[in-house]
Amino acid sequence: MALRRFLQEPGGWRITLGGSMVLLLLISAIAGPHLTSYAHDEMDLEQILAPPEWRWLRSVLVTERGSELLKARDRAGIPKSGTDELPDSEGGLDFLRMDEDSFSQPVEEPEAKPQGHILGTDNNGRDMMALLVAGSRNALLPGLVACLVALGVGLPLGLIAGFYGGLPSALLGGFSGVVLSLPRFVLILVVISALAPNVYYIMAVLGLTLVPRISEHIASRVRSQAGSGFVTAAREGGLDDISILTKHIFWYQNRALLFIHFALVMAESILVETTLSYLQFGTKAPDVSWGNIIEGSRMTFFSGIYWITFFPAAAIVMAILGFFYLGDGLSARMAYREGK
Amino acid sequence: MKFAIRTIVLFTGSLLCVAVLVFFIIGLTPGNIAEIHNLAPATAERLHLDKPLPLRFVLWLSDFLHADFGLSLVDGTPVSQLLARYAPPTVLLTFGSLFLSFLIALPMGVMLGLHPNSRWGKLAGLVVYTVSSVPVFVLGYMVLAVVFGVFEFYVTTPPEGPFRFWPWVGYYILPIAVLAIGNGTMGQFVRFIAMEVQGLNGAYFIQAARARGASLFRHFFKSMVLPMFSIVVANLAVLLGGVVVVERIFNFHGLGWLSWEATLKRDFYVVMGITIFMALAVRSFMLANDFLAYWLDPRRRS
Repeated sequence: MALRRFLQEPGGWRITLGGSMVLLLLISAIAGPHLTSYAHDEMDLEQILAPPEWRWLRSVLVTERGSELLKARDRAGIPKSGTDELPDSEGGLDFLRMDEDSFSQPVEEPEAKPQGHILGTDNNGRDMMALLVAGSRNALLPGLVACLVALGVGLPLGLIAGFYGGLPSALLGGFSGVVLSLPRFVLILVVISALAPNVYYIMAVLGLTLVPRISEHIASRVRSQAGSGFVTAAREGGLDDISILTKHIFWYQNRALLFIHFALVMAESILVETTLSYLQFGTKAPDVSWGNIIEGSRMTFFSGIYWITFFPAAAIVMAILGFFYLGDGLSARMAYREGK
Repeated sequence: MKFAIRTIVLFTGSLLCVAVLVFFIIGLTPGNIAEIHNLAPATAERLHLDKPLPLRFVLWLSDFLHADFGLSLVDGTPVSQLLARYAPPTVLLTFGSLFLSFLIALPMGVMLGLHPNSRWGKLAGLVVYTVSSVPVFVLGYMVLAVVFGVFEFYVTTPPEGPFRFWPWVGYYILPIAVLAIGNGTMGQFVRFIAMEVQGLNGAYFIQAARARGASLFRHFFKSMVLPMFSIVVANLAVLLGGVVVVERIFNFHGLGWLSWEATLKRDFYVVMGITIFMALAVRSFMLANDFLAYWLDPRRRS
C-alpha cells in the first residue's frame, strides 16, 4: 500500500528505477572481488576471447564473422600458459590477420566446457564480469571526490550568497561567469597539460566547474526563504545566523538538494571519468575503467567480437542513467511535496 | 546605459579571469618550457620565456591585444595561422550540430508541452532523455564501428582542396549527428521547450488569441524567441566540451583536435590561444544574448 503510494507520487518510478541501478552499482563496487569467480587481473590464457557463456546472449549476438574468427583462433592455437611471454594485444590477435583460405576448410567445433566466464573474456583472457566489477569501483570513487568538492564548496557558497546577498552574491556571480565561459573539457585539458593526468585532479576540477550550478540553485531558494516567517521567528528566538542558516534554512528546508545534486554530480563525473579513460587521459592501463576497456577493445570490435565493447558500454549507460533518474525523480518529488 | 556598462565589464572581467587562470595553471608547471621544447635563445626571448611569470602574462596580454597570439613551440607556426586553419571546421561542426539537435528537439518539445500527459508524449520524452545520456564517446564509437564494419566508406582525414559536396559531407555528417544526438544538448532543448510551451499554453494572452481565432503560431513564436536563444547560448559551452571529445574520436581536424595535440606536446601558446578563443566565442554569444534580451524585453529595462 505504502509502496503503491510511493510509486504514484511524481518521480516515484524514476526514484525506484534509478535507485535500484545505483544500488546494484554500489554493491558491485563495495563487494567487488567477492562477487566473481575470477580476479580482474587474472589472465586465463587458454580462454582468450571466449564468448559469453549465457546461451541466449550467445545465440542472439555472436555474429557470423565473429564465430568464424573464433574457430580460426582455435585452429591457430593460442600459446598455452607456462610460456614466459604473455601475449600482448598484438600477438594475441595474430589469428585475426590470417589469410582467407584458412577459413575454407570445415572444422568441427569441439564442445566447449563451461569455464565460468559468464560474460566472456577479453583479448588478454581476463574475465569480463570481473573487469566490469573492478571498473565500477573506479567509476564511483573519483565521483565521490567530485561530489566532495562540488558540494563542499557549492553548498556553503550558495547558502551564504543567498542569505546575505551583496558581496558574496556578487562573488558567486563572477565565479560562475568565469566557469560558464570555459568549456569543461578545455579546462580539464589545461589541467592535464599542467599537472600529471591523474583522475583525482581531474575530478576536483570537474567538481569546481559544477559549483556554480549547485550554489546558484541553492542561493535562489534561500533568497526566497530568507524573508519568510520561520527565519524571523528563529531570529526573535535568539538564534545566531549560523544556526539559522545551517539548521533552519539548510537542514529543515533544503536538505533534499544535497541528495539531488549528489546524484547529478555523480552522473556527470562518471561521464567525464569514462570519457577521459577512453581517451587515455584518465584511469591508466593496469587499473580498470569502463572507458579503458572500451578503448582496448577497438581491434576486436571492428571484427565482430562485440562483448568486450558492449558490456562496459551498457554499464556506463546504466550507471549514468541510474544517477540521472535518481536526481530527476528526487527533484520532481521535492517540487511535489512543497507544492502540496 | 548603466546596464550596458555592467554587461561589458562582466564580459571583459570574466575573460581576463579566464586568461589569468589558464595562464598561471600552465605557467606554474614544473620544468622550463624553453628547455623542454629545445628552443633557440632568440625564440625564447621573442616569446618572453626568460622573464618571471607575472611579467610574462602582462607581455602576453599586450601581444594578444596587438593580435599577436604567439608561436607554436613545436614547429614555430604562428598561433593565429593555426586558429585560422582549424577554427572553420569546428565552427561548422558546432553550429551544424546545434541546428540539427534543435531541429529534432523543436517538434518533440512542442508536442510534449501541448500534451504533457499523453502516453506517447511521455514515451518520447523518456526516449530522448535516455538517448541523450549515452556518452558521446560511446555513441561515436558505435557509429564508427558500424560505418567501418558494414559500409567501409568513411572519410577519416580532411579532404584536400576546395569545398566539394561529396567528400566533405562524408567528413562532417557523422560528427555532427553524433554530437547533436549524444551530447545531452538535445535532451536539454526538449525539456526546456516543453516547459516553455506548457507555461505559455495556460497564459491569458494565448487563451485570448485562441478565443478570437488569431494566429497561435505568431503569439507563441514571439514569446519563445528570447528564451530559445538564451537556452542555445547557455548550451554553447557544453556543446564545445562535446566538440573537444568528438573531434578526438573522429580524428576531425578542428580546434578540439588541435587542443588535444597541443596538450600532449605541452604547446603553451597554442593551448592558451585555443582556450581564449573558445571563451571569447562563448562570452560573445552571452553578451549578444544579454543585449538582445534588453532590447526585446521591455520588462528588463525598468
